[in-house]
Amino acid sequence: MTLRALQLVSIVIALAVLLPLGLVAWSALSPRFEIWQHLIDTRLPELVWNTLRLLVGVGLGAGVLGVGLAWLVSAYRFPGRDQFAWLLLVPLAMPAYVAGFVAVALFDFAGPVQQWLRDGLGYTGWVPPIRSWGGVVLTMSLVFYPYVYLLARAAFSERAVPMIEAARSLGQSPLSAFWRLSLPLARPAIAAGLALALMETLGDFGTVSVFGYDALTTAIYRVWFGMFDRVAAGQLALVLTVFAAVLIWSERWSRRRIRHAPAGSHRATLVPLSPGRAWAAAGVCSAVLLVALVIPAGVLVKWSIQAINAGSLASNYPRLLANTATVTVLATMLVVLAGLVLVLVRRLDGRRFFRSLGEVSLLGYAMPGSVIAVGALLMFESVDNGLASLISRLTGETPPLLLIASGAGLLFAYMVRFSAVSRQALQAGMERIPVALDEAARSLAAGPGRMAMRVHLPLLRRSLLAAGLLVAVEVLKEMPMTMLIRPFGFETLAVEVWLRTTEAMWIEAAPPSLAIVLVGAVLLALLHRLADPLERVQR
Amino acid sequence: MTPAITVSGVTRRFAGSTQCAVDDVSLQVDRGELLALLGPSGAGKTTLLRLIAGFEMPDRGSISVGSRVVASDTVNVPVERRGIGFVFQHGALFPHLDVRRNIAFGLGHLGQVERRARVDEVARLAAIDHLLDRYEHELSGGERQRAALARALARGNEIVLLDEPLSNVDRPLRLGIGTELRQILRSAGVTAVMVTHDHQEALALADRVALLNRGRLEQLATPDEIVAAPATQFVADFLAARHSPPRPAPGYP
Repeated sequence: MTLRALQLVSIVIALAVLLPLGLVAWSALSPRFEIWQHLIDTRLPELVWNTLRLLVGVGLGAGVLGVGLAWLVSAYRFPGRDQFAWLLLVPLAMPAYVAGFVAVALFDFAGPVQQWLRDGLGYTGWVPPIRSWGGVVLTMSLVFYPYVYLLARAAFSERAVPMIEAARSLGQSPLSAFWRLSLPLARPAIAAGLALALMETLGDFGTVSVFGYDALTTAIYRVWFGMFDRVAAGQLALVLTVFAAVLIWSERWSRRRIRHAPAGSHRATLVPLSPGRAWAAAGVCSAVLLVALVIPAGVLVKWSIQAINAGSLASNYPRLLANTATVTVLATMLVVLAGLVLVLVRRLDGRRFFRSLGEVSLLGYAMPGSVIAVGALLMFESVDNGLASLISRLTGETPPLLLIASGAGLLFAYMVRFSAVSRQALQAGMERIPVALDEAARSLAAGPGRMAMRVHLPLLRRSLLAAGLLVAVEVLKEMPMTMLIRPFGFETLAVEVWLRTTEAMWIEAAPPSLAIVLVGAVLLALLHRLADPLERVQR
Repeated sequence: MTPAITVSGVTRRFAGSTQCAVDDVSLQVDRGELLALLGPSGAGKTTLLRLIAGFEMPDRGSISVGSRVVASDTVNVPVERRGIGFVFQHGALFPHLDVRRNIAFGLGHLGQVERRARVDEVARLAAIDHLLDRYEHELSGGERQRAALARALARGNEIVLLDEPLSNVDRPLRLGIGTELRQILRSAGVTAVMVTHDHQEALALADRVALLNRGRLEQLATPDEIVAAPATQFVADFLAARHSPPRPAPGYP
């Protein structure tokens, strides 16, 4: 492929991201003020307040968990530290809406915990309600902390090693070196991790609806499907977009004037802890894993067995698996390809315009899935209606809505949402390829196409695989977009989980949830093996 | 006879810098000679080399290869059409290809049989015929640079530019490996320009030495002349320095 073709494709990808967002803004700003007025008079203040305090709570919870655990495993030696270092990432495989319904099922009035309190202990007093701000915040913190953990750990274990060692030689204890050096130096990484966790929180739809917690995303869904009001949905989506924009902006702002500290040439040596403290550290890590992963996964296994024994395993289960596999594989290939094009164009044509095209893709990841879904649907409707009227004029028959019915629309939406994920992974790999190799290839008369095929692609193999695994985990878990854009009657594991949980059929929701968690965990384990050969060698 | 390379009044200033990296430099490189560009860090040696190669464009002045203008206000011949081979500081061998395929990388226009013959020919010239199946990480510093030179020669270029080719070779081995590289260049019959910050290296290996300081050409002469009659105070001081300036930090491992 020539450079010209790559440039063209990268422009198309950037437009694909911008178009749905533009349509949302356009429809929201269309002159129907009475709907705005109605929203403001009725639900909007409450929705904004709910969303805001959700962000604050999850930011604190995920921040403390992520930073604290990252510091433990990257600074100290304690029993099981090497296993905890990667096991603590695995809760990423647990979709928030799965953790949510397990929590609600366990702790609600009819759930086993309260039953045990009443029947076993005879306690009938006040119990903190699970369907509350606190319940949502706790659940989301436990599934979203790995974003903070992942980035903070990388910063702690690599960035500032020489400086920490300098501080230690100046008489600072490890703990004071943490407060005075590691934490400030890791601030950009922590901010980036928090931004990811908060974007997930903002875009989440499944968890808040299981908890019956009214947020902007649930309102969009209700307005779109319940009231068939495109304009009002667009307007709510716009409010959500403002939140996301503030998030991106504050992440950038927190990094102002900070350059990345130079990467250390070696890793920190781990400080051994006294036996008591070492076991306490192991205990903290185990407790988090227990609550975030082991208990929910155990409950899912138990319920799945019950579901199978009761014969209530959905008869379409094999179809669900096949649908999910198909969608995940196709979407992953498309998304990785899109990221690859963006990264190659940036490398081969250093002009600012083409560099900024890649940044545009970040917008897609920052936008909640439901916003992209609304934008994409607005877009497909007009295209599909145009196609349909053309076809009916030509043939006299009324065809179905082609883009949505064929699933092309769904793949498009995944590309809009996740190309940033693959781009980031591939960009990191690309930056490890010395520019001198490009110049050597040029001096040997290799054009851009040949350079990309013969030099960049082979050297990016690992990064391509890593990008694919990351994207696959995301697509597998994705629910709100899939829910809104899927072809009629097309169900995936995530959709099935959501449909069952809305009917409070916890047992029936367990088998598809378990499948998502298991496959996700396997993908993350593969990713770990791929990403960190360095760590294993140096141990 | 026209010189192999003619540089006339070339100036290059990088955005955001007040000082010119290369400041109104003119020089000629004769056919078949080995010219060393010598000077301290930041003297503009590497920038001048990259300007000749075509990785950079001059802001003013012109560069000719033979009688053909390759860079001027109106002309910019891209790297791959200047007929110039380049040996990078750390070799820049493609790490996923063995030495044979590295050398063959620029020979896509040849048929398989010819390509193989050409690879064998330059490999013999560079005395690396026994290393053709190795990968970059399986080579010593000197072998790596010989392989990089073989790759640059394979396309039959008449000019080869070398950017600090000895900088990641252990100091005691440098002159020996430098002499090997010079012999390879000689037997290939090419014109070469080599960047170095080590005056011993320059004086021992080059036919002529161009001494640069802050982007300006201080003196261009044979090693004997330059030692016997330094043109400026700077040249005298630079040659008198007992130790060579410290090695620049490597760009990549």
